[in-house]
Amino acid sequence: MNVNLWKWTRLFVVSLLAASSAVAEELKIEAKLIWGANTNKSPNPDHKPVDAKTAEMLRNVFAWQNYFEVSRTTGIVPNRGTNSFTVSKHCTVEIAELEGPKVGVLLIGKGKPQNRTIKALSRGESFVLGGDVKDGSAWFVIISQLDEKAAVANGKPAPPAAPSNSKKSEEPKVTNTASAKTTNTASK
Amino acid sequence: MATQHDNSSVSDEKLVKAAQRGDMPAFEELVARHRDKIYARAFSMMRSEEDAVDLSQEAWVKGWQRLKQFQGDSSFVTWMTRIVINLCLDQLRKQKRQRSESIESLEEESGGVERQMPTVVINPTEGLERRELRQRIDKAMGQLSYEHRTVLILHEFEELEYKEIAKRMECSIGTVMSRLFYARRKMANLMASYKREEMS
Amino acid sequence: MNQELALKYQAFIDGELSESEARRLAQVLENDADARALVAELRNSKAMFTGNEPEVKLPESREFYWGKIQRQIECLEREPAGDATGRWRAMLAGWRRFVAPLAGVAVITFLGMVAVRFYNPEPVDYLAEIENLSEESTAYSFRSGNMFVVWTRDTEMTSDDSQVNFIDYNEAVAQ
Repeated sequence: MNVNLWKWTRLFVVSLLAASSAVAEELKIEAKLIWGANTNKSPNPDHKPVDAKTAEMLRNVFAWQNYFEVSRTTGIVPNRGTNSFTVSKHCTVEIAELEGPKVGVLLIGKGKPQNRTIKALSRGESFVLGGDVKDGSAWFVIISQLDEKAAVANGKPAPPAAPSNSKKSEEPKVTNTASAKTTNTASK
Repeated sequence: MATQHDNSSVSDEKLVKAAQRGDMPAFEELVARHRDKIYARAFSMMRSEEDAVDLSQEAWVKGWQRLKQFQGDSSFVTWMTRIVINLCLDQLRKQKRQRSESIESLEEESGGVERQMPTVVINPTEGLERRELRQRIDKAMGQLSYEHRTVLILHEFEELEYKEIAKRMECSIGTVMSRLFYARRKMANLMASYKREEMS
Repeated sequence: MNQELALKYQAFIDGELSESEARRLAQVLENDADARALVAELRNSKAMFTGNEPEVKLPESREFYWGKIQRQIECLEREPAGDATGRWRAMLAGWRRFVAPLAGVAVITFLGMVAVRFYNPEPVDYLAEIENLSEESTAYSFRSGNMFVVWTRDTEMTSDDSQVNFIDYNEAVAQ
């Protein structure tokens, strides 16, 4: 009787773990900060125009003519964890992997939480945060889920799942997010 | 197991590693070494001995519980300082809900008062011995509101950027800048008034 | 001098301005004596803190202070030894009736999910929840093609220094 009980219990636990693993995964994320404007050149020479596909995607929706890549950050959001992507001095995006699978995206602007969005993040779909800049231009943060091949093609090896900024790491909140182990690329 | 005498000559790094393996005497040595610093930070924020003792002890208990998460990215005392700061900020937020605002502190918050303060031209700290200077700084800081004192501590002693301070204090960067500006001007005027009192 | 400019001077001495802004402000300072006086005051105020944090000693002896900490740690780490085993056994006895059918259900669910995943494309979930966390901005969303957009804009409560200006196109990229 006990042997049968343990057999069924093992089968139940293994099936449950397998089922949960089918929906839980770590996410390879890329966050790009883009400036949209009607000028032909960015005042900062380091900011190069985005690729044609991204420019077309943005022009189809938004009014600005030209789009420049300010920064690009990639990293891993661990299974049921969180990671921070600091895209500029004033802007951090915290992404959490949630049950569903869904993501929670928290926009922190100038040190203060602005809004939080929870939705499914699908490969091939772009999640875009945006807002107006005082001078009539606009900023965008494009969040995309990468697969391993895309991560390697971008010149970055798929980083290990080291949640340095995840909520599972050491407690002190008073840490500088700029020391994140996510990979940052300066737009050259 | 190392005795108390043995641990006194051991480096912080080794003590932390030992404590992470469950060595309580090693942790006790760390507490003994850094208790004044952690207490001092709590006292500077809370301005109450009782609160500072309680919060610093709570910080040490939390430090023990989370010791395995300490990866050495900063020094151990810096890590502990951050824990006690977070506890103090939580406590101050709780107290703020209970505390009634004085008119002066409301004026400070609105940012109008510092415009009436004259610019302090002479350096009011010149000629002071370090011990006397520290005493005057302590006295002046005791006359600031909690918010102004906290932003001063986080910026001047913890060397945090505006963005980090805003995140910890759950306010905007603009508010951090206004509070810091007021706090600095108030400190300058208080230190100048102490100097005038001394000379008269 | 207005408040905004005064705060900029403060940011200047704190190294919080971009290089170009700092250069512009330094030029303005050369021609403004009042501003120079204010900057000097702020600098003196900042400098007096360096290395001069008030010294405070803990008003308790080492043994007394540590004793309280040790007791709290021991209290938190203490667990009733026998109770855990007894509770587990009681729970397991109660679950015995349900384990076999639950195992069957879990197996069928797993097989079903595998089948869906392999034979159906991943559907795009059109539902999203958005929560505004700031009084100074509001967010709304829309979808266009393969893009889901959350747009953040100022509310009437923002000051001139908008909370949602997250980009300074003159600054260097994040490290």
